[in-house]
Amino acid sequence: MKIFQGIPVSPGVSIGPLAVVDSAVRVRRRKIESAQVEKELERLATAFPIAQEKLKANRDAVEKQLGKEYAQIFEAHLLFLNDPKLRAKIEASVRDDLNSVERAVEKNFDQYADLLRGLDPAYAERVNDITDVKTRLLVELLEAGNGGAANERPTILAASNLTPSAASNLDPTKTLGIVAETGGLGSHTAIVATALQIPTVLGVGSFIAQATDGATAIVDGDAGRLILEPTDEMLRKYVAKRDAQRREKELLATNYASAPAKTQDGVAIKISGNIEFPYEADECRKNGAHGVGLYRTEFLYLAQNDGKLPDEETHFQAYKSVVEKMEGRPVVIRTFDLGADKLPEGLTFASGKEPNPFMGLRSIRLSLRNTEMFRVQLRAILRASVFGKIRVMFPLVSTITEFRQAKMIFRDVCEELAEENIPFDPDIPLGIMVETPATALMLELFVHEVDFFSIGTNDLLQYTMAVDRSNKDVGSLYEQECPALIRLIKRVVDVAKMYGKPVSLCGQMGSSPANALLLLGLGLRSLSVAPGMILQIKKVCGNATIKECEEIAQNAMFKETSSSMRVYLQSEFRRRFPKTDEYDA
Amino acid sequence: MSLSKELIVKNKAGFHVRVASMICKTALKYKAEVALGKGAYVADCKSCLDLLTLMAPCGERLTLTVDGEDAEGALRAIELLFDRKFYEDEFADVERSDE
Repeated sequence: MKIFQGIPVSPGVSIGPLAVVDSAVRVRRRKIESAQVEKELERLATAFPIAQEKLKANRDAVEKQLGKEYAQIFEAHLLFLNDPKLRAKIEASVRDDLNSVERAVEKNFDQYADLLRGLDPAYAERVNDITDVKTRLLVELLEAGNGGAANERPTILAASNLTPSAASNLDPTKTLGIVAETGGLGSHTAIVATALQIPTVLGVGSFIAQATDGATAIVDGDAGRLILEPTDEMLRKYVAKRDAQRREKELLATNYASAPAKTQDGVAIKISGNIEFPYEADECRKNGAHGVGLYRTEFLYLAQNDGKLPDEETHFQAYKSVVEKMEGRPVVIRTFDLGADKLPEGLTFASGKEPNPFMGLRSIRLSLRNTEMFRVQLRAILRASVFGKIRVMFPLVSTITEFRQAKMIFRDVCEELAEENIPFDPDIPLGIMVETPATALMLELFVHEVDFFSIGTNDLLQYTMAVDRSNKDVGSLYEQECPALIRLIKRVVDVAKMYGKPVSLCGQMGSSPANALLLLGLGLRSLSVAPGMILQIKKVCGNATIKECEEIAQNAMFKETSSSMRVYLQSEFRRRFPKTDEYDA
Repeated sequence: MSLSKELIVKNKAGFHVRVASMICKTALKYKAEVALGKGAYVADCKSCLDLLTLMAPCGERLTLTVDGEDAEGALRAIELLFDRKFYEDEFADVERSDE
C-alpha cells in the first residue's frame, strides 16, 4: 500500500481501477497484438489528414482574425505534422515494437521534444509547439475511437497534469475520481471536478511512475489522499465511508431540497448554484436553489477543440436550455472569462508571450479588445432572455471605464436586435464581479451605475495576496480564510448595502460550510455555491442564527493569520455540527 | 546527379523554427534528396523536426548535399535562402506549405 498526500479539491470518496493517462489527452499506454498492426496503422492514416485539415482551418481563422504573422506558427505546425521522417518512425514503432498508435505517436513526438530541450534551453518554446501538434493528432485518434482495446468501465483518472480543455471534455459517467500530480484549489480542473461532483485530489506530487494502469486505487477527496494498492482492511474502511456518504446525501435531500434556506431566527438566505454546464441547472433545481448565481460560459469556448469560436447559435442553445430549466428563477450569466489559464486550444489573443498571464489580457479586458467575439455572446444572451429571467455579469472589472464600455457595447447590441425585430428583455440588470482590490476599494463609485455585485473570492484572494495559486512555491499563501480578503468582503457588503444594491458571493469560499457562518455574519444574504453544496449550505443556514454569525464575524476581525482564522472558524463550526465527518475541510 | 556545397549561416539569429520551415518547404518542392550536415551529423531537409535538431548559430558552416534529377535547382534554391539570410531583416512572408 502506498499513500500520497495532495490537495483535496472536490469532496467524496471514490474507489476503482486507475486509468493512467498522458498529460494533455487521455491516452492509455498499451501494447498491441501483431494481428492488430494493420488496423492500428489504418487508424493513423485516417487521423493524419483530419488533423491537417483542422490545423489549416485553425490557421485560416487566426489569420483572418489577427493577421498573417500570428498564423505563421501554424505553418511550422503543419510541417511537423507532415514530417515524413517522424511519420516513418511512428509507423515503425507500431509495426516493430507493437505499440498502440497513441503510444507510438506520444513516444516519437516526445523523443523530438526531449532532443530539442536538451540542445538549447532557448528551444523550450519549440517543445511546446511539438507537444501541441502531438495533442492534435492524439485527439483525432481518440475521437475516432479506441480501436476496441479501450476499457469502457468507469475509472479513476490519473494524470501528471490536466489541461483546462481536457477537464472540460471529461465524461462524468466514465470518471469515478481524478488525481493529478500538479494543480490545486481554484484551478480550472478543480472547478470542473467540483461541478461534476467527482472526488478529486490535485497537487499530489510525482506518483505516476508508481501507478499501474487498471489497479484498484482510492481517492479520498475529503482528506486529499490517494491510496495505491490498498490493503483489504483499508479498502473495507473506505467502502464503508463511501456508503455512509451516500446515505447522508440522501438524508440531506429529504430534509433540505424542497424549501428555500432560512436561518434559525427566520432570516431568508438566497442560496444559488454556480454552474458551468447546462445540465448542472438540473442539480440546482433538484436541490431547491434560488437560481443560478454564476453561469460560467468559458466551457463553450474550451470544449471547442477545432480551433474555432462558438457561433451565436451554440451560445443561444446553451443559455436557452439553462434559462428554461430554471423556470423563471434568476440566471446570472457571466460573459466569457477567458485568458490566463483558460484559453481555447489553438487560440491566442495576446500580442506576444505574456510573462504574467493572470495580470494580462483576460476576462473583460479580452472582451473589450475582441468586441466582435463579445457581441456574438451578448446577442445570444439577449435572445435567450425572453425564455426566463437573465442577468448579465462582467468578470474582472477593475475600472469604471471598463464597465461603461461593456455597457455601451451591450446597449448597442440591444439596438441592433431591436432593429432586426428580434425580441429580448429590455430590462436586464447589468452587474460586475468584484475580483480586484481596486474595485472593492472604489465601490462607492460603482454603486451608481452597476445594478448588482458578486464577489469572486478566488481571484480577489489571488490579487489581494499577489500570489499565483498554481505556483507550488507560493501556493501556500493562497488560503480562503485570509484576513485581508475577509476585510475586503466586509467592505464590499457594507458599501453595497448602504446604497441598496444587491450583493452576492460566488467564489469557492462560500462553498465551505465553516466559512458560510462567517459570511452570513459579514452581512451577506445571498451566496452562490457549487450545486453539490447547496443542500449542505442550506443545512448550515438552518442551524444558525444571524446573531451568532455576527459574533463570529466580529471575533474573526481579531485573527491575525489565515491559519488562526481557519482554526477559529472550524471550531465554531464543529460546536454546531459535531458529528459531521463529511464536512472535513 | 549528386552535388554538395559548403554554406555559411549568415543570419544573426541562426537556425530557428522559421528558418527550418523555409528550408523544409523549399526542399519539399524538389524530387532530389536534400540534406544538411554539420560534421558527422546529417539532417534530412524534408523533415522540419530533423532540421531543428541541427543546432546552427550564426557563422556555422554546414554541408549541403543534394542527390537526384533536379539536384541543381534544389541546391541553388537552398543556397539562395542562405545568401539572403533567410530574409531575416525583411518582413517574413512565408508561402503556404500546402500550395
